[in-house]
Amino acid sequence: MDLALIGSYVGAALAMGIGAIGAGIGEGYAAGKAGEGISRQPSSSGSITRTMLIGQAITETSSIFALLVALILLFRGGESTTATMLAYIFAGVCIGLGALGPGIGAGLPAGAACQGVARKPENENSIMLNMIIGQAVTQTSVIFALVVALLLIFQNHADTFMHNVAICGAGLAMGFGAIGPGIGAGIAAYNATDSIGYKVGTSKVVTTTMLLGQSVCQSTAIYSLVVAMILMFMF
Amino acid sequence: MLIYLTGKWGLSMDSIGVITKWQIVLFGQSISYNPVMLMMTWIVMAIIVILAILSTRKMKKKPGKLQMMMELFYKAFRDLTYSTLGEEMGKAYVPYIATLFIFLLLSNYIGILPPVFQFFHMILYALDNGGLAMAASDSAIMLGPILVLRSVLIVTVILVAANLLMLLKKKKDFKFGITKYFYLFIAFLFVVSNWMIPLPIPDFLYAWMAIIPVFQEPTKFLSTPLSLGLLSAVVVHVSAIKYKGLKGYLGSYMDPLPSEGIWMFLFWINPFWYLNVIGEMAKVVSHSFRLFGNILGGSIIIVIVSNLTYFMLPMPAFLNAFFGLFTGAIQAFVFTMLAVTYIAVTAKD
Repeated sequence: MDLALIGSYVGAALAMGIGAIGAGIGEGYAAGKAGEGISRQPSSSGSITRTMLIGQAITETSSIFALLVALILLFRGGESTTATMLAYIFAGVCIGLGALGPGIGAGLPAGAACQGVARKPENENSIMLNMIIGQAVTQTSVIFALVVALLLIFQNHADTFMHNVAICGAGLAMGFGAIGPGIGAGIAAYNATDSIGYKVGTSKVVTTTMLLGQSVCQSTAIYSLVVAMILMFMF
Repeated sequence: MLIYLTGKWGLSMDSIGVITKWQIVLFGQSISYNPVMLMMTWIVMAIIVILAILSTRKMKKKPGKLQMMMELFYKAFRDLTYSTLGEEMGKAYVPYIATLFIFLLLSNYIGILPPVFQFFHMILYALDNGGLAMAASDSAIMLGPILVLRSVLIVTVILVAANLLMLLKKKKDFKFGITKYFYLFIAFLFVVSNWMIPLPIPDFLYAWMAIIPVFQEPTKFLSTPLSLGLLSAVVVHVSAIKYKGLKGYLGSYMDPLPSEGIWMFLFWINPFWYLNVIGEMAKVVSHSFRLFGNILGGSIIIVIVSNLTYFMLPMPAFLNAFFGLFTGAIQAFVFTMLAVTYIAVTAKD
């Protein structure tokens, strides 16, 4: 029985299975708002569609990270030890859960941007700029999950009971820790993009405030990262 | 032959996650580096330098196509930087920001170029071993490109013959226009393919060309995004010290507790100090891993899909357009804009 093979298949399934949820919801939200906007302002359907596509492409990043980890797991192989199996499974859990929140969160500003462009097509540039920055910062927590997942996959694991349990803990800590900050930072970006759609002159102040708020909101994801690192390297 | 005809320009499934490592010994320490990444970075830098020289060599008031393009590009990034940092402060950062973007864009785009190195490698091999036919019998990997080349040669000879016949019939002068170089190239290939005297080709040329079968994005190796992220962090912190002063900069880590007087010396009992410091480090991680993950993910997906489908041309066009052109441009833009915004957030009050 090849334990590494079990680990990589289960891990890849969990990574892509859970990781597809968030981005699916987020992209659907953006598409819905774009449809609403086009029905309100059919003449600017071109710029609304462009905003939607760019927003969706960035939203997809979290799922692409999940796909990346799943593919690496599928083709990696490794020693047949319990530590390897657990590391692979929990790398999958980590990136899968980690992609859930940021996927939903990054979809929200994309929807708000479509709405804003429909309301005032002439403000497309500043709305889209704020959307891109907001989405990119929203994805910080899934990037932490990616880092932890890659460390779990490529680290040399000692096959002790203590370390095996610590690996499970690290994957779970970072996976669950990324959900909340992802959605929260997405809400901040949603409201900032929405308000810039109303009043474009305030974009500088609003973007700065959004960034500060998002970085404070992500401090919980940073706690999770620290805990995961401690679990991986100290036990 | 299969090796050449499947995969993204001949990258097989085994190449996923493999990083070529060379070592040099310096002062008794062995230092390993990635030759593919270095080579690709140098190619990108050469393209940028050539573009810059060509577009600024003969500057006119009424610009030509290339100058126009570069002016539009520069103006777009100048306006973006000014709108975030303000004109007064932004002036110093425009060159850095624009260079960052064009470097990342070309780095992300370079992966879709066809494998010219494979071709050079083949010609070198032929010159070294006495003709393409000999080379073909030596190595199964070379068989694919050689068969392709042979068929191209035969088709070209037929075309040239047909052209000459047409010219003779119409009694026109044989014009030696742009096709001249093409015919010369074909003649060169004939010489190469029937070469019988082994040439002393230096080994390092082989080593370089064998190591780089295809163009690969330098951004798909972590060292490039991470060093650019660190560079941006240095720019951010140096400009924060410059605009806030050392005291203001150190005080900003005490946020939201007060930073006056004795509080500055009691930072180790301030929990927010640790949080802020870790937050600054996490910024670098998220900044660079975003680019790395996206580009690596895209390139792995292209390799796997083109290996699964046995695409006739070794290049799935739609995937290259999405992951190479679209995602590459968006991620380059996101990286650049985040660098600007980090400068604005950290250095401005």
